[in-house]
Amino acid sequence: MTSTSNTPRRSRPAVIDWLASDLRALLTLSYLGLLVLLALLAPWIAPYSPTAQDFTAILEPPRAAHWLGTDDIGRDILSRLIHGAPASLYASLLAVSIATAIGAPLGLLAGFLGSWPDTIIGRVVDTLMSFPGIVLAIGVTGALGIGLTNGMIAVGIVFSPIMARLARAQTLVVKNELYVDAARCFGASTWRLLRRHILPNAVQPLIVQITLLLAAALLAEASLSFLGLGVQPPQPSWGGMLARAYIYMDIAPAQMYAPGFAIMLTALAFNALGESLRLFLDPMMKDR
Amino acid sequence: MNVATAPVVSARNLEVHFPLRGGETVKAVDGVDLSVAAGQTFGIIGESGSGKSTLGRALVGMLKPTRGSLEYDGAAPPRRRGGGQGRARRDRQIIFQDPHSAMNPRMTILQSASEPLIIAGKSRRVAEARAVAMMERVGLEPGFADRYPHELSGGQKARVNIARALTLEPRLLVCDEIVAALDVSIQADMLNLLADLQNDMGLTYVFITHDLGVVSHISDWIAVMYLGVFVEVGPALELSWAPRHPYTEALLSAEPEPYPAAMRSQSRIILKGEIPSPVSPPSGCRFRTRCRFAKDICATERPPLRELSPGHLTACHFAEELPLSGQKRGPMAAAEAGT
Amino acid sequence: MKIGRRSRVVLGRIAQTGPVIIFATLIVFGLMHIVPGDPAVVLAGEEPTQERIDEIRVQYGFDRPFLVQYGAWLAKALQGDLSRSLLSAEEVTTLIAQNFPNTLLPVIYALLLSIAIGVPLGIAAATRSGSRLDAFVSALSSVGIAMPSFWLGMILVTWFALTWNWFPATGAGSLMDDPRDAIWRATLPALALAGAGIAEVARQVRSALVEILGSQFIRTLRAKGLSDSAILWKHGLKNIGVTLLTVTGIVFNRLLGATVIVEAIFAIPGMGSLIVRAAINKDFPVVQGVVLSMVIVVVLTNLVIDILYGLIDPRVSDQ
Repeated sequence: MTSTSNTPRRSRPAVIDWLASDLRALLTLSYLGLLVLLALLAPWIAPYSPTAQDFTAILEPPRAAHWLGTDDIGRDILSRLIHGAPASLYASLLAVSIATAIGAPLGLLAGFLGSWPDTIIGRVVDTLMSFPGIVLAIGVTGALGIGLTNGMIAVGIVFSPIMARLARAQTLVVKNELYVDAARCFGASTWRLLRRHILPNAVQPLIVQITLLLAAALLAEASLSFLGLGVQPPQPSWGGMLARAYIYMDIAPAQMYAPGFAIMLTALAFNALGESLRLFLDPMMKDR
Repeated sequence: MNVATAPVVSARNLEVHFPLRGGETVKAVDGVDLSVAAGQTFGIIGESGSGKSTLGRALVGMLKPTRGSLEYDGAAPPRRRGGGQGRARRDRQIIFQDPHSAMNPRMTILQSASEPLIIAGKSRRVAEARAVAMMERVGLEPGFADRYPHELSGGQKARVNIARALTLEPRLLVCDEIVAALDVSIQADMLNLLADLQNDMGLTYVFITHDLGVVSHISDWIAVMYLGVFVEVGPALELSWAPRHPYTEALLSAEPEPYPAAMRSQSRIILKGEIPSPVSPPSGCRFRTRCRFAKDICATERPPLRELSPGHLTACHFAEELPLSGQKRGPMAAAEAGT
Repeated sequence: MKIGRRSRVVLGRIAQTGPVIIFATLIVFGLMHIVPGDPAVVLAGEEPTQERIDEIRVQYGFDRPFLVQYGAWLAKALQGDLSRSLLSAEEVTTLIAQNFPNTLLPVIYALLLSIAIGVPLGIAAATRSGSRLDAFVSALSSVGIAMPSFWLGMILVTWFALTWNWFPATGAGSLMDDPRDAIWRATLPALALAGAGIAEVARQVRSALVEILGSQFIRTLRAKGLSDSAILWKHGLKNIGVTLLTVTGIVFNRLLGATVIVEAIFAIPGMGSLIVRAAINKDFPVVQGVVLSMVIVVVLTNLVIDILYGLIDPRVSDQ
């Protein structure tokens, strides 16, 4: 460890350094940023309305007027793709927010308090982890009614054990650190210990996991919409477009590629971003 | 010792036992009496496993004693919340051995240093101002405030820890091996700093270490701790020159003297065996398994701490008779010893 | 003494599973009760009369407190009675018994494929860490995990079934009557599922092996002159046993979830089609039955894996 009393302050924030050095991070963030932009500006950017039907041009391959072709009732695929983005992004964010909002505090408490709260929370977490994800989501939509929000709430609940387990593991490590003891000695309340000492130091793996869960949530939404349990037609969704493509699979197989690629590419971007984040956040800790 | 005012801290029969799986207990602190008057430095020396760190933590209230009493300024610590418990907490502080782990890696130096006062209810501005002042006082340049712990050297971090604890102006400051992790060259600086601060601020220290050279430098009183109990307590100088317990003698002899062997005042006493487990200490005198003077009675009867000369106590059956030699420094001493 | 400890570990695991199953049944039962509005009204269907509603209320016991209802339901379930479908009035247990095998076949098939292909890929990537092969396998893994299984299924059907006619596009065979036919029909679905499975297995195996092969211990062996292949077989592979177990559990869980949708592509009469139809039609008993049976399968599988853990790796069992 060096004495750095004369080091000039860093001129650029760490994030810029990171993006400059990690191509993968740069690419994925750019792609995701672009996607968010498209989602927000969809009505103004998309060349056609997603519901505009044109029976003179059904199942057309890509050409000048329709860059990605048209579907079985003449709707422009590119426009539907763009308009499908907001639903997918919203769904992923919703599910992961719920998973984190439920899982992280539970894990934190379980790790910090130990003894019986830990055991009870542990059992509940184990139980939830035994439900194959989609199955519970489908079950919940069966009860609450079909719709994207209900389905993603269920997915969020199903994901929450993952966040809980991670939060708990991190809390266990951090709570034994000397600075937590020191703060306690100064008279810090439990709340202050959690908020200022434990949480900030436990949070990094959670951030990585959030990006990975975003990918999983996206796939879950696509699955639900494909089954007709998620986004309801005529609202466009990538999963719904795949469902339609399935119906016409034998006469127009090309229909399935655009939405499938959109789903895969976005999930890939989330996953890759997560990996880059993991590398970015870790060396900072290793700096000790 | 000044008997007119109550001691800053006094312990009677203090025990701290930790339960283990399987019913046994680790008797880290097993019956300790101590009393520290205001403005003094009380040194506690022992090997690892002696229980000194546990004792230190119990003295500041981090650990609850399993038995015995603790009094601060003559009164028991307040029990209920709000009954002055916060103030009482802050009056007793401890500085840990590892200066790096004691600081939150995600907080700047200034944030860490001002945290105690913020917890105490001061506004951020006041807390930060005092923290900065204290950091200067301990010898840190002003530029450190916005740095993070990993950017500082060990010595600098140690100073921050000291400053941080002192912002609370505690009545009692326990220093748990705080110079052990530092380079020898810095150790002297740190000890001098602590002595200066004590003079200026009228602090009371309990100084825990395994290094007798360090503790005799700075302490008024020294207690030698072995396996959870004090085996000798006395004025620092007297204890180093004329120890009255075989263990103390062995510790003293382990201190390196910077002279060629022929000129050293005494030969090194090597203790046989290792420190026994605090789960089941030896019967009678705990030190007997490694003591070269051990007799039968040492196994059957536990020697109490008894006063041999004013303020100097020792726990040994044969304290009066044993030919123990203490620390005599320098070539003159060697000549005196007739080598 | 060792055997005694191992038995204790096993019993401990089984004991831990108990509360989990109970909680799970509670959740499954509670599913029906999160329905907005009065369940009796919902069940009564279109334009219900008050009599019909009251009738249903008594018939299903909605007038009794929650825990009593739960108890009654649980008691019947333990006896194998999961009530009847609201649509077809068939017994739920019968439906499950008919459909589960059609689900399990592709899942287990896919699991085997994942291990059979994923493990060699992972080993190859780990032993040539940093090479183009390694990068290729990593890229393939990333794609495999990001690709929706049902999309992969659609692509496979389009090419292998519709275009080239190597496999049938739909349907499941009966394992009892004609195993070869059943397995042949299950191949495309299994491949669709295995995409993600292979990716996950390859990634985990590679990662675990790289760590082991780079460890101090192995470096010492190499310095002693042990050949690379000897190191790989004797030490490297022995230690990934735990990893393999973990990843098997994870992949199995995921496959059970993914198969629900893949079944829709291949028109397989399995748990997936059962629950989707039931969800759309609010056929609660079927929904509950499917969820419950899947949960039990998952819990039992995890239990077996945990027990195997405890037996393979003595360190793991000392929580």
